[in-house]
Amino acid sequence: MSQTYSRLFRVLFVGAVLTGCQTPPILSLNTPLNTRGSLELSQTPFYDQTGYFCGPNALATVLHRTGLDIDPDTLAEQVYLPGRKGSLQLELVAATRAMNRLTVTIEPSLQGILRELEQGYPVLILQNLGVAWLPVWHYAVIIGFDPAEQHFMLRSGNQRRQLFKAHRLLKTWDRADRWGVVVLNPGELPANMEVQAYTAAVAALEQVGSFDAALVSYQAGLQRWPDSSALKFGTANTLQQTGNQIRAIQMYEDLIAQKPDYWFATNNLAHTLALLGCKQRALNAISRYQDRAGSDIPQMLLNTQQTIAAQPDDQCRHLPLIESG
Amino acid sequence: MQRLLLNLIILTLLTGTFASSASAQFITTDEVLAIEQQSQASERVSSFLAREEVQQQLIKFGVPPEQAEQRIAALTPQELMSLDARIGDMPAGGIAEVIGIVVIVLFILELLGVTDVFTAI
Repeated sequence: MSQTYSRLFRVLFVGAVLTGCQTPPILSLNTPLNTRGSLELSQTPFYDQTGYFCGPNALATVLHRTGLDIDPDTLAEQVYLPGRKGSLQLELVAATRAMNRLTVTIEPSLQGILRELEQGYPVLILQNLGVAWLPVWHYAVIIGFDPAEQHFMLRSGNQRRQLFKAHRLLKTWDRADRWGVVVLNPGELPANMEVQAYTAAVAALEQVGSFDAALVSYQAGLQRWPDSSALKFGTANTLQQTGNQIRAIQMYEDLIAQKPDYWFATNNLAHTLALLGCKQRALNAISRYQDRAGSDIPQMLLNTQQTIAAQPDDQCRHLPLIESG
Repeated sequence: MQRLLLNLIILTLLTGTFASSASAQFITTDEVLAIEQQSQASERVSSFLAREEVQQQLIKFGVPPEQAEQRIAALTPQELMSLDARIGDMPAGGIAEVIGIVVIVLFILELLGVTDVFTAI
């Protein structure tokens, strides 16, 4: 059905132009996009779309680069929502986590797309091919860009190599709030230099219990952003939840030494020490924060302090190497 | 004032979300990010309720119950809250079968160069 319309459209479209009807408005980009020559990740596979499976298709397309060869029909069981005849962004992202992959949002600009492509990452985007009040949502994967023609190459629907002029692509992408992601193996970093985007993706991995993948990703992130408190905190939290209490304690203490105001670390340090029976050391850690902050103590930290104070006597025998007060 | 508000959020978040284990409370990385962005942290009080709700909604939207359970497991509390609120009207990419009057409207828009439905499929 769609192909019939497509053909009919082309005939009418040409007719419209030839008869001097309204031609498509040309949206000019401020400056032409540039890359070092044409760029195309041509080894990206193509899955011909059946039904409304553009979500599973696009996901299978980007997962392939990370070493996973999964049939879109299998992915559909995880991301397709029959009642909505489509797939939700959240579920696409969640599905990659279930496979120990990391999905990071890209910088929301055409330059951002190019930077990811230059890293070798195909970009999964949401498009609204209709208009705001009559949306037609569609997922596609951008695999390349030709600076001479100013067009992008996409794996999309049942087109193996769709060409999309940059300004038209931007229109369809704008109407979908410029949502675009790359799917990475743990340890890989996106081209996007926003530490928040990366940290959020890793924290979500940690949250759903993919601790090994989260740990590798936190450590890779710290290579690029060595000063990020959130990445250090996440590393320590992941260690804490996987039974590596001693290393977790060391990381919390490092973090507190660098950033004494980061009370989340004080809280979790105290919590971890208390779990090991080190009641006094736990309370000392909170006291040190109190000494600095005066009366301005977060309620949550006070709760932690009270809970620990009510615990049985100190039985701290597990931490011979650690001097935490 | 802001600090007070933040403490309040954290307090509700704690008392609501985490039934206290034997010891003090552990703050997750995900929560800290939410607190730092001040995004919907207070709503997460009911994330356990949301889990149940979203699972029911997935089933209602045609997902087999055993798959619904798996899909829920991959979502963070914050994502569960968003889904709970908006599962019916979030963008669902799929290219719906465009029918009837909608076809005509989109077709005209396409001729005017506004949309890209028919070229993209």
